[in-house]
Amino acid sequence: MVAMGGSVSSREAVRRPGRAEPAREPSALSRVPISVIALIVAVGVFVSSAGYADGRAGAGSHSVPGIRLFWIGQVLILVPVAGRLLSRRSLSNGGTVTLIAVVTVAEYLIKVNYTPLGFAFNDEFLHWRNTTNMLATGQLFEQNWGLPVGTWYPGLEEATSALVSATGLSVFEAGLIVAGIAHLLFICFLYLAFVVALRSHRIAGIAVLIYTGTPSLTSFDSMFIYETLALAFLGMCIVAGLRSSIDRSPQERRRWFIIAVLCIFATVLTHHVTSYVLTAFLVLVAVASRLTGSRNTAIRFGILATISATSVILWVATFARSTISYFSPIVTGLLHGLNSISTGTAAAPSVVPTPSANKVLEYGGLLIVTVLILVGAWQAWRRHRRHPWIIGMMIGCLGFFGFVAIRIATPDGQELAGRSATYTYIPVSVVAALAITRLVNSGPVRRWGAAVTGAVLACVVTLLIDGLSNGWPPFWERLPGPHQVSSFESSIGPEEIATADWTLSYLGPGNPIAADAGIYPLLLAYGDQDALQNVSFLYATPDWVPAIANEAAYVIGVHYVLTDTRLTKLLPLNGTYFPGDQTDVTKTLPVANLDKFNHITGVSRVYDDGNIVIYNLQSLGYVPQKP
Amino acid sequence: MYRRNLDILLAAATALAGGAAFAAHLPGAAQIVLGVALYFAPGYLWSEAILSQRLPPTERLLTSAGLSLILPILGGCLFYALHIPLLRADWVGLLVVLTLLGVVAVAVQRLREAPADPRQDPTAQRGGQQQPARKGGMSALNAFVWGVAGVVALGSVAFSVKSAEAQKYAGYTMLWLTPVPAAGDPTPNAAQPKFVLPTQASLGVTNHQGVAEQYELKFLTKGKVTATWTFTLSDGQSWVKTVAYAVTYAQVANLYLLPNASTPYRTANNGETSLPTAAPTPTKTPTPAQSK
Repeated sequence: MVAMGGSVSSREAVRRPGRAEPAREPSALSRVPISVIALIVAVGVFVSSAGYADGRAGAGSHSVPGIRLFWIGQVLILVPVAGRLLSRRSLSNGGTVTLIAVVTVAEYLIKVNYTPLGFAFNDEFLHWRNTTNMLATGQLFEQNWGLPVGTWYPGLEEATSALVSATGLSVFEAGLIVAGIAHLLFICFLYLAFVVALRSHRIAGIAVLIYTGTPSLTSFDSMFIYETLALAFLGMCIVAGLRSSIDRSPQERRRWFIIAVLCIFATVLTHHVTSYVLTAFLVLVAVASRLTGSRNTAIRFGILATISATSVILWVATFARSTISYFSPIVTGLLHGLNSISTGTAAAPSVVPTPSANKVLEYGGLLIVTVLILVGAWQAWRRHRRHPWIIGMMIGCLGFFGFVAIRIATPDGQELAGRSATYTYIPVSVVAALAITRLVNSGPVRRWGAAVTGAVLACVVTLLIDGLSNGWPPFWERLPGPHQVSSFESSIGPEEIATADWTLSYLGPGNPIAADAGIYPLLLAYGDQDALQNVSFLYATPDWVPAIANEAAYVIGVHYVLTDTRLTKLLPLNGTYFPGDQTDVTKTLPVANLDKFNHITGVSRVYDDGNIVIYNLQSLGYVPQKP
Repeated sequence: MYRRNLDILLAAATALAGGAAFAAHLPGAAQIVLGVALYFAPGYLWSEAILSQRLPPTERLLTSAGLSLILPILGGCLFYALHIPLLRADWVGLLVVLTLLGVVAVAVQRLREAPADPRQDPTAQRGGQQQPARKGGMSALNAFVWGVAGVVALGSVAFSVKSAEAQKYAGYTMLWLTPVPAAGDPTPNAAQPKFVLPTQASLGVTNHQGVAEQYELKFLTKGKVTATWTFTLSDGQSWVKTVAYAVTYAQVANLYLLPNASTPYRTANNGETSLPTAAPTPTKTPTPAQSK
């Protein structure tokens, strides 16, 4: 039952379905109680986790049974929830939000079960270090070698430090709780925002379901990173902003306004990009409200946008000045890539070959979303052109095409697009939900009943599977497994952790150290070392020539060099051995390239565990000093 | 009146109990339960204080949780501005103060406002419109199914923990010879790059082979063995010794994994000598899962 009873400013703008329309035939899924769906989902989590266990048992992502178990589990999670949300049988507001919470928690548990003993995703390590520093020193803005800009956005670390202090939990355990709650809050607030704006919990539920297909949602947006927490505040701010505009009582409006302002401050203190997106979002709704004649909403959101923009500017100007230098290369690369598109010289970035199934899903997903946007935008223009929220979302959908351009034609496009999808998919999901609801409920289509619902369900599940398969972790580490060289999570093991811990204990913090991309994040986090990027030249030749020595000493100022003999035996699944490298390697490192450090007089071999060796370039005869 | 304000009393008691649990260093489980309650109490109270009492349960829950995350952030920044350090006791103190202030704020709020009119209460309205309660048996069955779902989901986490703990990794042994700064500071700070020639070094071995191993460590000065140590280390155990460190002549530490006393298993040195081309025996590398 579509229950679109109104809108922010003009409830009559949203049309109810005609009474003459024939009664709907509920599908089989629609009769299943939510508790049973939750049980099926829980079994799905267990089955996917069994797939992980199979990967750990030996073959990693090459374990065919493990991969099958993982995807069977995902189907058990996604199909019942999607089927129930898409079914034409009426679902209560409580039921809808429960289903959304169930699928969100399920996917989060799968993320936790990937590495249940400690953090393994690179970005999480950086915030582990920040939190540990904050707990140790009692100071907010401590040096972080891996993420200097993160120092100036301490929200996540503050929230986690408070929980660690109150409960005595470890940073890892408290981090999982904070990130999990924040992730669930974000999704629930997003749903609430859609409900408040659209006055239809069914369309809101479908919109959130589509949003679940965002490639980064089950990975980056649920990790222990600052964006995860800031997104919760963004969602809460949107809800509070809407309620401050539409609540009947002036007193209630004022109170929601206070909540919205608190959320703005918390967002600004927590994550840079989310605070910019929040500002842009508030501006967008204010402008759309003005265009559609909703003066009160325009004024409220205009004030909130002004507060947000002012807070962002003041924070960057007074504390977080390094944010500008942090984003400069990203913006430059982005503009260069987009310029390449306009001049027709764009070239797809070099990436590790992706399986054809993933590409089919990727292009299929993009096609489905594009069609849904076009249909939804047509619906929005025809039926809801006086609805400020829907028109705002329609304008916001333009960002999706920028997302596609970034994904296809800019360096690091996959990663940038994946990260930006978090924001661009918010308006997309609303407009797509309008299209789906229209498709399922349109008179001619309804004659085919369950067949149409099944086709829509297939499309939506394809979107969700696309988000998972082309999100993170990538296909080559879909399952946890044996150690791989320079390959993100697959390179994290007890040996690397022990080595990183050793560097902090015996070398002290903050030493400039060159290492491969596998142990790099651990040296930054557990080692608290100044692990360097763009160091491949140190490993590129079998001889230690003066040019390399000079660059090591005067350009990057390296004190320690870490070598790993496994680099001479295995190729990196990620494509490159060293952090910052752009060119994919095609053959393993020659042994002589690593062994040369043993033959340089004055370079001491301070650590050896068989695979990993650390050399001190600063000791004795060779002391690199900047001029 | 008492029931209406029971939540305030509970929250205040939670705050005090949570603070007391921290101060008394209660056992883990008790501190976790009370600590979690203390963490979320301020959010609930301030949500009540700011948004009054007429809020649907879902929104109340969400805004309470959201404010629970926001308040430590804003409070921490306030402490920073006041030059108050943010050590563990300060965080607990902040949460207790926020809770108690929240109690006062809610109390004042409720005293100022007349009791809520049930006709204007959306939750009450919703309750009035709800369908008749289902049969007790159905509710019990639903609750049971939810319970089973929870057990299965949490069971998956326990299963994953066991699976990850059982994962096999290649064993390894760490050997190090690290100069200790002359000042005696074992953790030199790169922010102070003053280079002081060391006179002592930390010589150490840690066994991570997965089983107990017997080692022989030979310390060579100018190419001659000047010290030999033989020891057995269980898995995870370390052996550490401070040795004199030279800067003008060669020092080498060769570790042997017995019974092989002829080929060095691990090697460290002070850089005054270069190793022969043949490197020490590497750790056995697992079979490549994928190679191009």
